[in-house]
Amino acid sequence: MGEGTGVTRQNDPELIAGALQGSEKAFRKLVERYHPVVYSVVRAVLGDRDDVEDVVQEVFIKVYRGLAKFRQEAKFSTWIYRIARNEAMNTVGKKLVSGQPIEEVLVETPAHLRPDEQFHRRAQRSELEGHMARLDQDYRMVLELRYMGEKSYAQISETMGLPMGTVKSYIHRAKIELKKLMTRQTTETRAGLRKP
Amino acid sequence: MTTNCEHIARLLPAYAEDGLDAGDKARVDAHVSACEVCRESLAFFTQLEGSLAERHTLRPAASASARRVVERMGLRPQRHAVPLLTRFPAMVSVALVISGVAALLLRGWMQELAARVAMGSGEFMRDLGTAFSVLLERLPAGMEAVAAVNEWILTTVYFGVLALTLLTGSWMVLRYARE
Repeated sequence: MGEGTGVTRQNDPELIAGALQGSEKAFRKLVERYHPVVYSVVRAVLGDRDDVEDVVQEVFIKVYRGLAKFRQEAKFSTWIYRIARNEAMNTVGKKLVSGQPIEEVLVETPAHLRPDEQFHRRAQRSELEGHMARLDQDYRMVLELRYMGEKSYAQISETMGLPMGTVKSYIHRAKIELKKLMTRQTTETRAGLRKP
Repeated sequence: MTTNCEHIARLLPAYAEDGLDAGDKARVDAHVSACEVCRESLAFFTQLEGSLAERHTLRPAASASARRVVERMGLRPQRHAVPLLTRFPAMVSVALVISGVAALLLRGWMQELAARVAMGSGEFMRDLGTAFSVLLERLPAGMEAVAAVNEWILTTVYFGVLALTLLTGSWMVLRYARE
């Protein structure tokens, strides 16, 4: 997220200036750089739905249209995070109004696995998706940025504008909460099986 | 669960993420080897960590997404608007500089042309030709010569161009300084 990995890597202000001057290449690089963040944020708000990628694209279109207004006082990652979060929240509102479901679990599995392995993996992921959907949104957000977006604690802290300690605490509590939810489900399933 | 278990339980998620220092890691290792409850708990967090670590594979490729975004928007709205504003003053400035250099280089030829025009024309054109001649000869004092023609249109145009150059130049400097 803006940090260099090579001598030829352009920094964010250079890419923003390039995009403002009409460079498709510069804007494409910005999208590629921030796609993990935007996708994670949208996914954290919407869950596993088939329109996540559409919303992600909408976010980047808004980012492009708003680039001229972006001021360098704020971190670009923080600015883009807010746009993504707002857009996803608006989408949730629209879907609720139109009566469409907001939790459609579409779990994909790698094609190289055997059918039984695919089934097992799909069941695991589906279970995790279901439990993550029940987490507090802030917890879900940090988890998705950390694992879906593969971001470090420092990057999450910068993106969300939260102290590093808060990010660590959220991730810790999210995992504890997931354990509680999964344990409760296991207990309920066993109790259900014991009923005559 | 003992008090020690409670303390160790708080460390387990970070242990599974390999985020503990050597001291805490050793404490957890020693405890779970003797405590079945914490061992099971650690097994859970380790499995959870594995599942979470796979989540990034669910994310579509960024390059494919970028291509779709660029195709979908066509990059039209700002590609022309902003650069035009940036380029216009630059083009004016460059044109003025080129004109000035050309005037200096072609001074002799233009003086001769101005004299010919002045000979075969009326009073106004003679005055204009003379003023132009003087302007080309002494560019720094050109403004006074033009003013001497006493033609308000010519003077206004001269000052107008001067003001426009100063304004666009300043605007350009400010814009680039801000960026």
